[in-house]
Amino acid sequence: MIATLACRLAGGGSVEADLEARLWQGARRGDERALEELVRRHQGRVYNLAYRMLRSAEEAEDVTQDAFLRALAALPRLRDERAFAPWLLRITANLCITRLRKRVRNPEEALEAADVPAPEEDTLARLELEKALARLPVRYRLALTTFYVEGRSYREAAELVGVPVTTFRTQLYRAREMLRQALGRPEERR
Amino acid sequence: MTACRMAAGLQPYLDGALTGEARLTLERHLAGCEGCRRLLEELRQVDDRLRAEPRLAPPEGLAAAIARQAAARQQAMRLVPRRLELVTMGALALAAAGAAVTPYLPPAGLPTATPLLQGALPLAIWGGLAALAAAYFGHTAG
Repeated sequence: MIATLACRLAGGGSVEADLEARLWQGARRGDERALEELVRRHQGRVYNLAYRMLRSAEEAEDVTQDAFLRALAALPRLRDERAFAPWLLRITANLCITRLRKRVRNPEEALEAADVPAPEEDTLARLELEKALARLPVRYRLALTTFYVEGRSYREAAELVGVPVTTFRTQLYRAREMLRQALGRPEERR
Repeated sequence: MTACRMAAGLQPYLDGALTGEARLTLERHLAGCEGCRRLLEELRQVDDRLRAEPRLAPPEGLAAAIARQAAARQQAMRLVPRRLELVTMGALALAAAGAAVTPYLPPAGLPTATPLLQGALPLAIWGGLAALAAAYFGHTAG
């Protein structure tokens, strides 16, 4: 009984692995359906990372598109498929950082982007959080976003951001401390 | 922020990154430190708000649009080596024609009548031009 179950599980695993291998082969050949499936698997993470960094649905869509096109263009040269997702997220983070730095140089653009309402419920508390996040330095915002959106450990998030773990922990610590101060004490806000 | 020396451990504690003796020590400290308990509560509120942010669905049709563009770009990239090959062939044919002609070039003003020039030269020139045209039209069509 247990042996049968184990066999089935092993068989299921190999079918899944086979499908995965075919997907990658198709994507490398430039097969549109395979590429679309690959994008579907990763687009949620990329889009949410971009949205939380930029706080603009329109810009998040642009960055998602740009990040995928850059990553997929280099797909034929990618040797290890496991490296794809972290690499794609790093491209996304870098594109977001570039846009945020551009906003700092062009304050008018920053105001326009900040005025875009969140696509979900626009509660007062949510807007307050949005404003507090928007005031954080870019690196701190990236640390918070990778930690919370990706739900990763300090080590994994640090690798994704491209800094040593100790630096990442410091950035995360300072980011949350700045947010805590910006949002005030719960009893003070009531 | 509280000036308590144990306060630095509150965020790792909240993240579940404190384990074993370090965790127990902090929990024992929290039982007797009002400032750290209040700070931990504030940090927990920040943490809850960040975790409560909704996960958004990407726009409908985005994956298909990206895949379409990516496939078109990959196809274009594959055509580049073929075009380069044609251009190289065309250039080589023209160069060969030039090299073949040079020793037989007549003095200025005299007609050419060498058999090699009559046969091979136009063939090489037309061949080269055809290859260059194929590369050009392949490029514009792609």
